[in-house]
Amino acid sequence: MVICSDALPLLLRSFGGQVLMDDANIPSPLSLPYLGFVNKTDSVYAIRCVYAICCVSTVSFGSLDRPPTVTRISHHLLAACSYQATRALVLSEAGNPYFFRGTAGEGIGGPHVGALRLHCETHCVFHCCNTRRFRFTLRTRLFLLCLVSFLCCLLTWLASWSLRQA
Amino acid sequence: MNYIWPMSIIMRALTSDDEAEIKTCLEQLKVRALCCCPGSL
Repeated sequence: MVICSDALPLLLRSFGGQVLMDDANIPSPLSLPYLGFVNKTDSVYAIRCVYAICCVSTVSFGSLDRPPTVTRISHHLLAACSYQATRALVLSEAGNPYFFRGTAGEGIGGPHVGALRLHCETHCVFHCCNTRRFRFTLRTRLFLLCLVSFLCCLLTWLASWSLRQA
Repeated sequence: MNYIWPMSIIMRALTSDDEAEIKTCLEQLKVRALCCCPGSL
């Protein structure tokens, strides 16, 4: 894994441990300007980005029982991050283990294998981008995304629980 | 593994200012849409 100090990690632990990667999910480091947390041209992340990171890493990894604690170290780390550097990293094969390039095209995949699994976020994005009727405010979009992700986590947990019972 | 999600291509286009990059993304999405459901475009 390439260590790039300018890029925003997807996962950040309280002692400064970080995971540099991105999957196709939303929220994600790549989608932060779309969600309104940073400008595309931002060279430095604002502190409010910290909350986005909490959201990203908690939701993406489904570790709702262990939310990442953001400490002073993390604040320093985030202050040094730039969106363009993050973008360059997640859109490169060397920097992101889930960036794939083939004859048909290139793009980001993810660790969630299983082509038949539907991802509700896709529907949200589709509707957000599709018609004027679904032009949500930023807050509504974020709320819906978080809600859907939480429900997905809950359903997964329920399924595993019922399997354990059986 | 090794599957590219169209959502990442959409997000790449939405967060870019580079017209060539956006065009490439749109081309890829068009090709993919034609592969997956012919007649949709």
